Amino acid sequence: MRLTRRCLLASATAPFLLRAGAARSRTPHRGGVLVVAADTEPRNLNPALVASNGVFYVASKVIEPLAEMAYGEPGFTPRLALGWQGSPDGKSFTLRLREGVRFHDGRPFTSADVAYCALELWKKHQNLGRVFFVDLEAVETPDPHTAILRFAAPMPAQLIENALPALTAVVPRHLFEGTDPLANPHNQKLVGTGPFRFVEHRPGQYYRLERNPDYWDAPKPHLDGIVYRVLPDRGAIAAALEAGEIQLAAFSAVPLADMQRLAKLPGIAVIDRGYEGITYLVTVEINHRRKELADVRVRRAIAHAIDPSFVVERIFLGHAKPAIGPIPRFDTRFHTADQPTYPYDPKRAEALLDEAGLPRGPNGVRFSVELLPAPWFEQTRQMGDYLRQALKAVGIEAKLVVKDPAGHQKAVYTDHAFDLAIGSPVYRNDPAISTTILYQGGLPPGVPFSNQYGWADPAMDELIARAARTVHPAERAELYRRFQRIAAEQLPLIPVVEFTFLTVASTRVHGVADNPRWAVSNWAETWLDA
Amino acid sequence: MTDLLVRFARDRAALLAACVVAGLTLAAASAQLLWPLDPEAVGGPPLLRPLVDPAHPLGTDRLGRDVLARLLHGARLSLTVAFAAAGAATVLGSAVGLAAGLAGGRIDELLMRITDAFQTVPGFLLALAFVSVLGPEARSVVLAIAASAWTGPARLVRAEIASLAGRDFVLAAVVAGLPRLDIALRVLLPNALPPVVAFAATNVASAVLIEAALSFLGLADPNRASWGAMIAEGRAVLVSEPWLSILPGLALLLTVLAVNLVGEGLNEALAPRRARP
Amino acid sequence: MSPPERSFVRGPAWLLVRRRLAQAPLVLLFVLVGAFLLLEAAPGDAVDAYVASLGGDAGFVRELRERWGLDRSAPTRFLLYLAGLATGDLGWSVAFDRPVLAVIAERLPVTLALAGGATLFAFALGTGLGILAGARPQGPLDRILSAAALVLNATPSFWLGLLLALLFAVRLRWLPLAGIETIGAGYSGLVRLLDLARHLVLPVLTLGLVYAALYLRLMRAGMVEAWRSDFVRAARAKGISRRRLVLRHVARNALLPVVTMLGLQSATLVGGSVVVESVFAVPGLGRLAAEAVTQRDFPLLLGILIVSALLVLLVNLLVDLLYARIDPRVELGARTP
Repeated sequence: MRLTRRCLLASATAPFLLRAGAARSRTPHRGGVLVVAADTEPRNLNPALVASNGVFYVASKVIEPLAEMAYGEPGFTPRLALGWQGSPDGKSFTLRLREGVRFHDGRPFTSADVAYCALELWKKHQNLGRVFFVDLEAVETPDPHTAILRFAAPMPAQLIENALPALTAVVPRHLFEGTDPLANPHNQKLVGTGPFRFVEHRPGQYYRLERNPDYWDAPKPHLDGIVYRVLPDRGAIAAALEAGEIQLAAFSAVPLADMQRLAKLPGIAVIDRGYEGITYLVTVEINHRRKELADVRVRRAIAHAIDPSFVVERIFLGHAKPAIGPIPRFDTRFHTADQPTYPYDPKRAEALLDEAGLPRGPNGVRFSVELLPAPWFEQTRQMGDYLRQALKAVGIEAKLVVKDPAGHQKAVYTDHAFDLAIGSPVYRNDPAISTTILYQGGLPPGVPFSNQYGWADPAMDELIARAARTVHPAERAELYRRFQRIAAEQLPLIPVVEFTFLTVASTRVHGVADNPRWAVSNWAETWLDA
Repeated sequence: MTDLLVRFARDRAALLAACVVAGLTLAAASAQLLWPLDPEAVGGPPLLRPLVDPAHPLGTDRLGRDVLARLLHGARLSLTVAFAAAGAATVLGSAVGLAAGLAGGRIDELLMRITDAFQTVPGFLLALAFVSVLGPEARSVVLAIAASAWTGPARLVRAEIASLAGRDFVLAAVVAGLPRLDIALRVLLPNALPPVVAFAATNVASAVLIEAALSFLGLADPNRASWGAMIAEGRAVLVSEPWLSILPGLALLLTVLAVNLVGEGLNEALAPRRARP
Repeated sequence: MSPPERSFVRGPAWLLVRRRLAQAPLVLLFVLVGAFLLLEAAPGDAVDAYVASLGGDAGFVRELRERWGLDRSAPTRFLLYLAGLATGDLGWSVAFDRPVLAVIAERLPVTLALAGGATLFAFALGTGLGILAGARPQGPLDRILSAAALVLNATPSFWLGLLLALLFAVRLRWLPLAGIETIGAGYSGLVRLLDLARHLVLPVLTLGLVYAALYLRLMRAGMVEAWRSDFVRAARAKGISRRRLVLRHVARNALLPVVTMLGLQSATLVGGSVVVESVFAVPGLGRLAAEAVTQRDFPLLLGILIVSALLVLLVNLLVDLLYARIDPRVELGARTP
């Protein structure tokens, strides 16, 4: 495996991180059950229907996508597809599928499964696919190992390729056809082609997977099985690791503040790679219906009032970077540093607010806002605590309103009952998958993690639409660089930091973080010391 | 009244406890004067241990917020919520108990079944559901705790009314032709109240604990420091920085202990016929 | 004037049982209406909870709402629920995508073990130490025990749980930290039972200790009272040995308020277990209820309330009967004010 320079840089940021390399020279040991922590139990575990990291964390070991991300060039590892090719007009995309693959129930995997999933599951029901595959018209299957996706409008091959890891999990057609997919029992009792078979789920306790002896990449996997222990509390996860009750916790499930201490313990390692392909941002979401916030000077003032380095150092304890725009630096294909930035400068912020006609009142307050930090992450909540103080320093009084997930979803994304919110959108390997939707105008209310901010800019909308149809990769990248510049100038929302997660694992665990989506990939290469 | 105070003061433990409660209340009320640091200010060095830096005698939390200031402001939230909730529960409960005891018949039956319904649902579960739904503001926490605590006083008052109803002085009032409402408020209620007052102290103590447990589970007003939330935040670093959880826990313990002792003292003082052995 | 013990239990006790049973449906209805109204008032519904964690676009949200029947009016949904309930159907949990009954049946034994274990532990320890303390009020042992009980009674259970976990699971590693069994160990029979018991030690201790303090204090107070009563004085005058006096007369009388409290605390115990379950990651009914609220899963929440209400009712009935056995002189029904 080659390490690219950007990965090395990424892992050099924190002093106590380890090398995933030391063990690589050794021969993998076969056997052993890996016990890992899980903090959520998704209601629907079928990745063909729900493309979400919480689902992938468990399901990606059982049900595989067509391709997985990889470090270095060309950035992909084949899984169920061996190769793919887009047509010059962008209207078709041909997939060559792996032969000799069987589902866990013994039936063969063929192009008919891909065709069924694409048209009936991804396009009709999947949270991301419903938008992404909207122009997918037909899937031709000239032979059992070729599938050709036909689109009504040009669809850049680059975009489809980027979407392969997250959006194209394949489940068996014979178990889903003719049923109501959303009520199918195999959304819980998973059947796929992956290195592990699904054994059981005890709600509130655990998921159990066991080795698939007929895996196409046999003799992999190295592990006999994986157990996900449901431990909803982060403190308990750290203690369980320390007590040796679990061997691995992914997605920073251990409180960052405890990470430093854990890393010093013998037998425990902290690994900060393996998440670059699912980089998250912390953003300040802004309700443009509020007249003060509709003024770009006020939005810029808020950006100047925030000290990203405080957020990085105190809230993320160094495991984050100040964001430059909505596309993370890791994705060098699209990210540009050539865009306006708003360095921490409270004086400048105050000047901008004065200029916007919002002087401090007799009590030192310019205006008051309601601030809704998203409840999903410890860090989004702490960002709320911090932002309240940062705004107070420039004369904006923020009242924190914390809701549970359902309440937050309704308040921010349906009722628009907020002034400012703290969000944590994820970047999924291409701006068109889940990033531009944060800037696109005219979306109906009720769509989570989208532009429900009351912001609409025709120029931006046009740019977003054009980029999604531009087949040529270089032209497409250029359009996204323009998109980033407008986003930074107009600041419809404020990206504060970008962060990836950490994995804490026993040093007995090897083959960790070997791809940029490791936590949500198939773990066929992961192994345990004897 | 002086009688009561004298009797109360004879109990040294209760007297001491009353001083502690008064002290806590005073400290909570004058938190800014006592220790002027802003409990929400995130500027300090993070995770400072207690008794190291005189600027932060009890140390700081993860975001560098002063623990002493947060404890003092936490006391304010804790006590305000607890007294308000216990007060609301006592008033509401007494009203229901009085109405049921006086009206009798179907109204009594209906009110008692509603009381049953509330008592059948685990009180904490009820409070949890209430706060999840209404949002974690102090107001809704008060409401939630009161909603699960009013049944005790209601039953007490109703029972007292039932036992008072046959007494001579009540009959005398009826014979004298006093209006029903007057009898209820001037004759029955004052006589039914003493046990309710003693019970209210117990309610204050349990309200402190419920408020703490709710904020421990994440249902705390994020705009204000709260002991339960401090314990929950400290829990993330329990192994390395245990005092972040231990200090607010001790504050809770002390408060509940003192309030309980005051309640006991009140109980004894209000029921002098049961002399101590 | 006390009738023979046996006949008493068969007489008024059954009347009381019948009265309680007759009242139960009305009480339950009130609980259901209240809980339903509360969830209706909540911001966001089950679909909002779903898309908040798993995403979806506007069309999907609309479809899901139709699929789960959430597009119907609130009264319609409630009536449909009641109609199902009348046929014994507790409904479908949208959060777990399984029948409510199945979800509850999975968690109930855990909570019963936890709450039952804690009650037994608290009752045994509390009354035992209470007798020791009450045997010689104001003696040195009484002072120590009473002070300890006072402190323990004021201790927040979740905090106690954290400290116990820190000490016994993290530092000493004597006991498991969380969960209720060793996963994938493949234990069966007695070994599995022991494994479960080992996992339940800390949660039961945490939940039980606080109640033990309560029972100790009640027991002691009852005994202090009993010492002053005429019949104990008379027995003393007759020269009955102190040991016999304490156990046969004083303690027995003092047990009554403890038993009463046992009944009253049954509902509280289920509530208290929410916090303890969350501290020790115990998959019980309390945590399930909290989850049902977060997920806005109203059939599940209502189902849990029904089950816990029935439990409370059952415990109260048992307590009534127990009460009659301990003290046949007490008129049944006079217990509840």
